Amino acid sequence: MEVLRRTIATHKAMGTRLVIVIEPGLSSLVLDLDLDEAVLLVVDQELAVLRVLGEVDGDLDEALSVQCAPVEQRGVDGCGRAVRGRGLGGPAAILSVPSDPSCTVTPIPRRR
Amino acid sequence: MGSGRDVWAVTACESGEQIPYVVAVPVEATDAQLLSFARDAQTRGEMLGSPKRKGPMRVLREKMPRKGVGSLTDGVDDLFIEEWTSEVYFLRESVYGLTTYHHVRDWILTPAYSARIRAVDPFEPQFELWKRGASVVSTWGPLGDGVAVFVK
Repeated sequence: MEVLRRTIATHKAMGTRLVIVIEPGLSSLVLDLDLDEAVLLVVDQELAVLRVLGEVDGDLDEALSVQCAPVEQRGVDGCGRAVRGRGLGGPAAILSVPSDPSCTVTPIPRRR
Repeated sequence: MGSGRDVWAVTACESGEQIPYVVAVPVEATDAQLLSFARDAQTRGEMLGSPKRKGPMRVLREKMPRKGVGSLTDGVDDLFIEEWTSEVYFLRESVYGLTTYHHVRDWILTPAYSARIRAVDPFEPQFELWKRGASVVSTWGPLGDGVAVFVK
């Protein structure tokens, strides 16, 4: 969890939004929800941060440390620009997009 | 992009892909504040085995030269490589891509390291310096033996 808090602090300093992509298989561990799709947590405001942290059930650091087979890369559409997940190989990706109010974040369909 | 901010890109060392990143807008700071963070960085580094530095500590508001400068905390830098965990391995490049500044990456990932490292939290001062557009290094050669805080 502290790794997440520090990542958020860095994004606040940069004026960017933080997007965390969590694999479906981990959503029950991280969010106490059994989801079929990947979860996007967009953290860009104090209230949003508090809400996300409040929903976490379990240790997010442990969730991030789970090893698995390489996952396909995901992306978000930030201001019309595709931003690919990077540093993947684990179950989560940390992405950043400019903190522009007109910037929308939508999931790109996972590759089969 | 519509954000009015510069977006830069670096090439990832492992995957080779282009990583976009946004340059942070630095917070203004006085020389005294910067030197305080630099002294704190030096003290925390020495607690984990970084060598003591001789010479003056100063603030230089200019571009950092390529020669005659090095990490202030090279002993700690080595420690962070020796004590890699799987979590650090998987997140290291992803987190580096956020700022492309390795001491910020190591500050973010510090909670994933051993209790000994977490207790010192050696890169907290470097994170504060980074927010102020500064970085602290050891110097030698033309710059003389000492410690310098370079500010963009």
